[in-house]
Amino acid sequence: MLKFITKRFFWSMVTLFTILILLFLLLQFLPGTPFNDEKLSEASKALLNAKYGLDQPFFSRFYIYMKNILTEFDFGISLSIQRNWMVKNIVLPRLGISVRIGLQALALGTGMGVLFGVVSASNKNTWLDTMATVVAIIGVSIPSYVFALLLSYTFGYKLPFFSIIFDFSDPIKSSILPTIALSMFVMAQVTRFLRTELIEVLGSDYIRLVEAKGVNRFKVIARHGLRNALISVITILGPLTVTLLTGSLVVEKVYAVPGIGSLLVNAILTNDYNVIVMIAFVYSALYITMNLVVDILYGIIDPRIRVAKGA
Amino acid sequence: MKKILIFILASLLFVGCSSATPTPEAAKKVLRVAYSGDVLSLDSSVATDGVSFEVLTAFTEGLVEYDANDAMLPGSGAAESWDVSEDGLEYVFNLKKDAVWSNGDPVTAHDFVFAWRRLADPAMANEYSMMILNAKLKNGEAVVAGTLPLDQLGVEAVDDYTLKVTLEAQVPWFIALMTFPSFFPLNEKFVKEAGDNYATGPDFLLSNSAFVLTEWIQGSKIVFAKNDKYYDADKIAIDGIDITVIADPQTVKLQYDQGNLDVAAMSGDLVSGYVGTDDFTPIRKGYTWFMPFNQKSPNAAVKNENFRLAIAWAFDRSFIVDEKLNDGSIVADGFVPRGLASSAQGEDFRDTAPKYFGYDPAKSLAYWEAAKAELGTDKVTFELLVGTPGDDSGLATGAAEYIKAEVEKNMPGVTVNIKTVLKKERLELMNPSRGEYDVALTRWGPDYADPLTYLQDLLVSTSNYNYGQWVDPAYDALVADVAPGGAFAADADVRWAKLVEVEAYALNKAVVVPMWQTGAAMVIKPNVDGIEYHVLGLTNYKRTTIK
Repeated sequence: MLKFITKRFFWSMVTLFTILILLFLLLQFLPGTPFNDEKLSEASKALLNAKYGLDQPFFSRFYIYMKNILTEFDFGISLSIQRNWMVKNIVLPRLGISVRIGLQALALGTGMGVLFGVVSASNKNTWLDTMATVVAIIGVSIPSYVFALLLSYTFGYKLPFFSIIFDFSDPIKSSILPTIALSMFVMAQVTRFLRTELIEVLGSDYIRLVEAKGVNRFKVIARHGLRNALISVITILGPLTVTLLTGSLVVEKVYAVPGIGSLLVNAILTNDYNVIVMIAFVYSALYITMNLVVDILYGIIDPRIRVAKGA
Repeated sequence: MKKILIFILASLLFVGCSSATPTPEAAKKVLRVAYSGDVLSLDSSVATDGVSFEVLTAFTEGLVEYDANDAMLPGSGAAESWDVSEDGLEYVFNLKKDAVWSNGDPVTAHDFVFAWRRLADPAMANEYSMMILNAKLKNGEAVVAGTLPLDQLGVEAVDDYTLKVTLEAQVPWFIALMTFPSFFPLNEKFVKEAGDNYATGPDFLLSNSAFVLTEWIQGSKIVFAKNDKYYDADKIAIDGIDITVIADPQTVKLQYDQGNLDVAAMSGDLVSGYVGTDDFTPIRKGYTWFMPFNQKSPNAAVKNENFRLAIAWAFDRSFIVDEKLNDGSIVADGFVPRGLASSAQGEDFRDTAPKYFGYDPAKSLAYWEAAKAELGTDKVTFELLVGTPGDDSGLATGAAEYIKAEVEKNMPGVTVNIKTVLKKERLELMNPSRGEYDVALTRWGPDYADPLTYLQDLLVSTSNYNYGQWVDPAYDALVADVAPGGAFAADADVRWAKLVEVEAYALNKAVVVPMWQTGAAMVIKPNVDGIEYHVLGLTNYKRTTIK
């Protein structure tokens, strides 16, 4: 197991390193410059480019970029926010909020998804199954923007249980609506995958054997069915993390959450290169970590995978 | 299993109900304002965007301020009075002696000298160092370019409370420039001690005005409390200002309707519910949207005067303003916006100048027939460059679709292709160094209170912002006469009449077609009074009251 994890970790690092190089190359193709003010004279632009090192040749910029990130985890300063703020000082506090809401949504979505999936599969073709399926379809079909607005209109405005916007003085309660909005898609996907998988597992021979031995239904599902069906859920957790990240752009906007979503959008619009790099890097790292966790979870839940990979 | 489901649903409901206690606002009178964008910099030398300038104005006081009637009176800001030399080249400001920074230091003439030099400093490479050039400060150009040392800039502290400013030429709009944050004072000792941390938060920022920053969470909120050290603190009727950054217009509306906000700008599609209520407060802003025609384009039609005039008369700008924007914007009757500058008699420029263009399909067709004869073709295709909605404020794409429909209807044979790009890309394509477009929809905000901020800076052949790359020596000569140091610069009345002629010269050739002057559909709770909005100046909360 340790060898397997080490190997996966090594390849994760290689991937991240490649992403850094790709990011630098891609940013060269971003139209415009960080100094977009229409009133800026050519002379001032030259001064600014010189001050922020953008007039340097390609390879020297690339060298400084890689060196600073790899040796000091230094992404430089923001080119549009304040001009003396380190990018990490801008990104990290906002990252915390985004990651927290993202993890909450992942946990809630997966939890509810597993619940609905189990209810649905174990009561196949009953009204409970239909209900769960309808909820799942709604969750997949409604864009998160609409759902987020619907939630804030209903539970923030008409029935003012929650704050309409994210509030630092009450970060737990005011993150409930964004969490629910963000978790809908996760919940729906998990429900759908688990239902299909669990129905198949429950129809298999070994489950029939267990049932024939007289084990009660709850134990059959929880101990024997679910454990096998969960593989499918774990497979989609990686890709779902990505939808959480992109979904957060919209949800953060609706609930005025000062996360990294809005920061990334603004950075792209204003060519704030350093901020783009750091956020894209963090997104990639999160995604890769998630995949690593998923791979490890596979091994824990299904020993056959561990064996197949020779660890 | 059913039991588990019911239990979970019930517990969810319980969580919902238990938290249904909206926190009551304390007895303090705090003004709650929504901003759609975040503050990018609280450093007055570095700031470049409208939101930052507005926030800077809340906690810093410049030499002069606009009052509710747009007048700039002595004593309205840090300057008690000022004297102007006969030739208009020297200003001496006498500063208030009771003004202090929030750390107790007195506000002195040295604070202004330091701030202006810092603004001009080529090592800082400040984008808004161009304000030094707009003010025509002595040696400004050379100092900004780095060829002369900072101490050669035309500003000096005669003593602690006397500031002397020397200009290259007489600048009619000089006093109005002093209301702008780039010219606000900075406490040298404090700024230097803070170093790289300067203006990054309440601990690294000083106030010399009515409010002091107490909290800044980037991307979320900016909180001000009343500054007790302010010399006029007893006249400030509110205890603070809470600014919340909310980008989504729907969320702004919900927050306002629920009573969590006192002031917000409504987007055009949400404003109808407020029109006619006490809350609805449309305000005017200085931005003029207009269409430049690229004279360096390979497309011959946009260089044809009759073709441009045909376009200018082909669509109804009031339809764009009322139906497409619906946010308090008004039709731009000329290139110079309403409320920007007034004559010596106090008359607005727009009231002294004619109205230009309108909706007249017959006239448009006549010009189009003439253009066809001159161009030798009856089919013309051109590209209309606009910014994407969201990125480029003003919903230009909606307007562009309407223009396309009307032009194609009223000028048979013309095809308009709308090209939508991000704002930063649009500006690049329009930059005279690229000039890759036919016709564009763009905007310009005034830099100083004079018609020249449009008539000179956008249309003179040598200007960086001459997007149409229009070259007409006769026009350049007309502008030179009314510019600082020009033949008519000294006589205000003659100059004014000439300025009207300058605008007429350009618009009669339809070098640009003015579209609309931006506004904002503000909603303000009826118990709030005395927020002062200005076309050119920044919003002032000093005389705001909450009942």
